[in-house]
Amino acid sequence: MRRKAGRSHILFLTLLFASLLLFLLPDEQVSSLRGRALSAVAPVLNSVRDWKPSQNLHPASLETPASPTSAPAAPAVVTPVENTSQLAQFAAEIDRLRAETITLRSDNMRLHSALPGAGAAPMQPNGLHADVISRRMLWQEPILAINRGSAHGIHVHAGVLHRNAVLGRIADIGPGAATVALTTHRGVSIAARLADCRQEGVLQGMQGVDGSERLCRLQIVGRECLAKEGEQIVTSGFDGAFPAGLWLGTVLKVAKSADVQWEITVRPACDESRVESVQVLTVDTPAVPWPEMPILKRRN
Amino acid sequence: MQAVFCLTLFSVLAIVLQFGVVPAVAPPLIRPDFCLIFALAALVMGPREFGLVCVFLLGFVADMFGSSRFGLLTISYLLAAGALMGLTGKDMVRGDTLLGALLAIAGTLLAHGAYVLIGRAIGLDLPWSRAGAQLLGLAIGGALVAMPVMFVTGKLFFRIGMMDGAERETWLLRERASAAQRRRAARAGGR
Repeated sequence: MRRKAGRSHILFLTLLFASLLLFLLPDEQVSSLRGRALSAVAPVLNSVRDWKPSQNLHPASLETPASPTSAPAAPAVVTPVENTSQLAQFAAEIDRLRAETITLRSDNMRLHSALPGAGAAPMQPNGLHADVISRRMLWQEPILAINRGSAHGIHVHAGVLHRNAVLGRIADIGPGAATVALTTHRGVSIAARLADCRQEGVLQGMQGVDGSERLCRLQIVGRECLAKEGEQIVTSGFDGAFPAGLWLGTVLKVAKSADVQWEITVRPACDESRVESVQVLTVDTPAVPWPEMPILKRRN
Repeated sequence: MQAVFCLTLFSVLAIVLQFGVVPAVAPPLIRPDFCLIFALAALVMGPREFGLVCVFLLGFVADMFGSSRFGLLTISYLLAAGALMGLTGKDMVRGDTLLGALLAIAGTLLAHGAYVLIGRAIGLDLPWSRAGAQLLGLAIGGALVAMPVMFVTGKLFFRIGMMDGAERETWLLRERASAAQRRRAARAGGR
């Protein structure tokens, strides 16, 4: 008995040491490991998702985020619908049609560019439809798992949209699945612009003040900030992950954080709990070249 | 062979329940940590070494999907399991389902409390308000699911011969008692 207890103590210490080694793994390896593990369990999570009977039942899942051009975001009016199953069917149908639209739009752009003498194709984000297979994972920062991965043409840091509003960026990726870090995730930063006053800055995730609602912060450098509460924030397109003009969120509060620095609290455009399917942008993130510096000639 | 079967079964069940079913079905206030509860059930009902391996493996699974710092949940799980083993020992539980369930709830609070404390110490974004709400959800969820998980695990271990010592004795007595009860009922029905 004593020998057995001693053996389990040794095992306990060994496992504790092994877990310390896991703790010290570099982030790149963890990211790749997570992507692969998620890909491995994606079929199971997919079938659980398909099996769920109550999926999309929330009437709010039908709400489309207001476009940035529509002035101050009015509270969404939800019409009481008695037949919730019919509502769920409509929501699923809408998402299916959206996915079809995305595919058709991509085809259209491809064919348009192949036509001899045709002008530039209309600028629309080219993307891939994906379903959410997991969310709210214990202590994880705000992250969603989706059922598309590198095998489908998705790459790390690609932009993710939900009904044409920005949802986040791809964080970890495996062959058959990926995780999306939402705009409220502290590690995500997106180049943004205030829609009315046109000031630009960087949007990052932050914890809500009361701890319940997760918000974002937009940092702007400038002598003055003309942002107003309720103003819309859109992508500026400078980070290369998103085209310019996509809706990011709404200004909640404007505060001066330093002499020439402003911090704007932003409510994100998408509510993660209502997202069932997303659009992952498949355009390659362009490598921004350094501008060519003129060679200075010495005057001797 | 039995150990491999149990490890695989627990891992798959924990992943499906924790990351597929719970977020979709359970209300926000109920967030049971199935990974830890299955691990503690294996520790309470099965051999100690197997239980520890289960705690490590399921901690790894939880870390893979549900931790903002990889490895931290595994450490927390092991610390909680070590504390429970040190404080109570297996002899106190002896395969009892209710005591096992209480131990699982205490283990959940210990493990996730350790996660919050260590996480805050290394600079993770874990404000007390969020941590408190999450711990409450974990405790409520644990209280709801710990008992059935303990019972099912005990039953499985007893059936496939993974139990030994005091746990096996307890379950053998329970099985005999229930068999006698069934016999009495059958006899009474026959008359």
